[in-house]
Amino acid sequence: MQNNAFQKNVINYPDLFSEATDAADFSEFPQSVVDYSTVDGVNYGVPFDSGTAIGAYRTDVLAEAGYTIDDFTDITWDDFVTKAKDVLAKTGKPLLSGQAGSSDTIMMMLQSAGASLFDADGNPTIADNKALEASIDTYVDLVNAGVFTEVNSWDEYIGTFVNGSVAGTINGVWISGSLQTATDQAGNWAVTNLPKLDGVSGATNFSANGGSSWAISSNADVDLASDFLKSTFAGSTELYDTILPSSGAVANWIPAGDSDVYAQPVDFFGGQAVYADVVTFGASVPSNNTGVYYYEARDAVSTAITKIISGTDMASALDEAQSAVEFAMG
Amino acid sequence: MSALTATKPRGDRRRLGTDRRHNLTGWGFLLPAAVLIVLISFVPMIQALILSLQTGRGTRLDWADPLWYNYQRLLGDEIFKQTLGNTFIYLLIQVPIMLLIALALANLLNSPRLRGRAFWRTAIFLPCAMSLVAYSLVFRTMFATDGFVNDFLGAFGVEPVNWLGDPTTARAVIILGLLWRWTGFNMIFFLAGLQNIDRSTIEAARMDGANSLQVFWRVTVPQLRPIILLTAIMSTNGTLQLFDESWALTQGGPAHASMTMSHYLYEISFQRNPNFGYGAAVSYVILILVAVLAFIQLRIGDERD
Repeated sequence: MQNNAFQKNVINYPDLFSEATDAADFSEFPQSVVDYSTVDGVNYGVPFDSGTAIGAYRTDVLAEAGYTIDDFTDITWDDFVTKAKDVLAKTGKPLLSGQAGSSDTIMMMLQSAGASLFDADGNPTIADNKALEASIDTYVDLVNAGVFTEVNSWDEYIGTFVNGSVAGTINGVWISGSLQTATDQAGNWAVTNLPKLDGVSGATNFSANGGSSWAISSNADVDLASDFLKSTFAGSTELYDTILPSSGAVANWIPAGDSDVYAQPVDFFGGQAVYADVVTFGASVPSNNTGVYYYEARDAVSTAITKIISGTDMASALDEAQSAVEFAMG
Repeated sequence: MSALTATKPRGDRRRLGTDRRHNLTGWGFLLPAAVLIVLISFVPMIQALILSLQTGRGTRLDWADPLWYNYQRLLGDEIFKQTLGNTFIYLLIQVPIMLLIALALANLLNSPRLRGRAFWRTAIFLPCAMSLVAYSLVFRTMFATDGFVNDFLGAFGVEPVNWLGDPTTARAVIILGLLWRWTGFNMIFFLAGLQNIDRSTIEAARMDGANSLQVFWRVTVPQLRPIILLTAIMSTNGTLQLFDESWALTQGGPAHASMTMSHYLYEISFQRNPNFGYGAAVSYVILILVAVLAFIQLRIGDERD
């Protein structure tokens, strides 16, 4: 089950889930990922597919502008905007792209600072949310500077980097599957962490987008299912070693990153052992509270961003978003 | 005398018996279909009505307090109002244009002097045999920022337009898509209607010196009135329930600017925290709107009495 929808589904359909407490040693997973499927302190899911966020860039384009991947590692968004503008001026290529009206980028920025759109009691905190304001400011800067190309659909987004008009992307690690369809760019990509927000407390260079976890249904043989999960997705390097090369499914289970298969250099990424790196990134991702009304809040923020980019004042757009979510919750 | 009075009722009785038998046979044939319609159409409608009076997330539904709470809530729902507005924009702009084009095309294709009539008929009708999702995806690709339409306009020096990213053009693309998809469908109805018009009425008008435009408006169109009424009601009904284009072409964007009521209904029920009661209330508002508009059209269109 999609991590962002996990809490919503457990709370709306409590009869469909079984406790997964015995299905894994949860300390072997990143806390932020376990939190997605934990409701009131009870584990309902075993994390599987990783949504750890990566920054992937074309090293050949960076080199043309006089940069290396290290110049984009452990930086802040301000640095990023400066350098990306330089890359754009020298090579004509923006470094990022995304779907207009999608808030994926904003949500990754928010989570990188451990922030969310809800407080611990589940009340929306869209208005007067410093981390959100900083994220939107950054996003608007990126778009206005021309270093973030907005497109209208997912296929166009994939197209921007596959056809080489955009020289990088920031997304969950699952995006590497789409990156690698651009076989003509093999060897010219490298993966690093995300820029972090400036002036926001708790800001880090790590985040996540999406990912999924296993759930045990209420009509299942819970013991058998728990045992199965414990000896496979929460206990078998062999399993992860088999599915990584064949399907690109990157583990959330930290011990999986120690195996040889994860440490193998990936030719597409210039010989970088990206998967081991990503498992390490995953351990540093701050937890955030998705909340039951995650999708309502995300949609409201998307609408607000669309309005802000076309000129509406940020405070009033976010107030509107806040009341839209409060309405949806009422 | 007595013999006559005695036989007559007997004959009546026998005839009644046959009538009743015929009746029963008729009902017997109708019954399976009627039962199916009741089971898969009317029963769910009543269930939806009951559902629209309930509230709660997911499967945990309770009676709303007051019972009409969901309907009352709609009045304060900004997104619903916006989608209602969008749907009426589609209705008011697209349906009249479509019916006029369909009428004109049908008239052209009905002309015995036109060559390759069968080919044109098929070509114009073909779009409505297309899958809604497939054509929406094709339109989305054509109107992408680096799509066919911008390439074509670029050849004439027009700057690329962000068709699906701007509220006005996004709606226009949906309307274009609807025109392409449904004009042929309505044209077929008009063509069928034209076959029933007595050519002598048209010839008579010509003899009286009417030009072809006058013949069209004064003689052909009035005789097509029942068909125009039928297509208008069908189109209104279809537009109010519009979902696929909003979903597949624009995803309702930007910022709900092109989202239809049915798309919002889907979001309420399946994408957000499932609020099936509220979703059912939206569906009933759509039903009531369709019924009211169909009633008005019938009153205006039907001038037989």
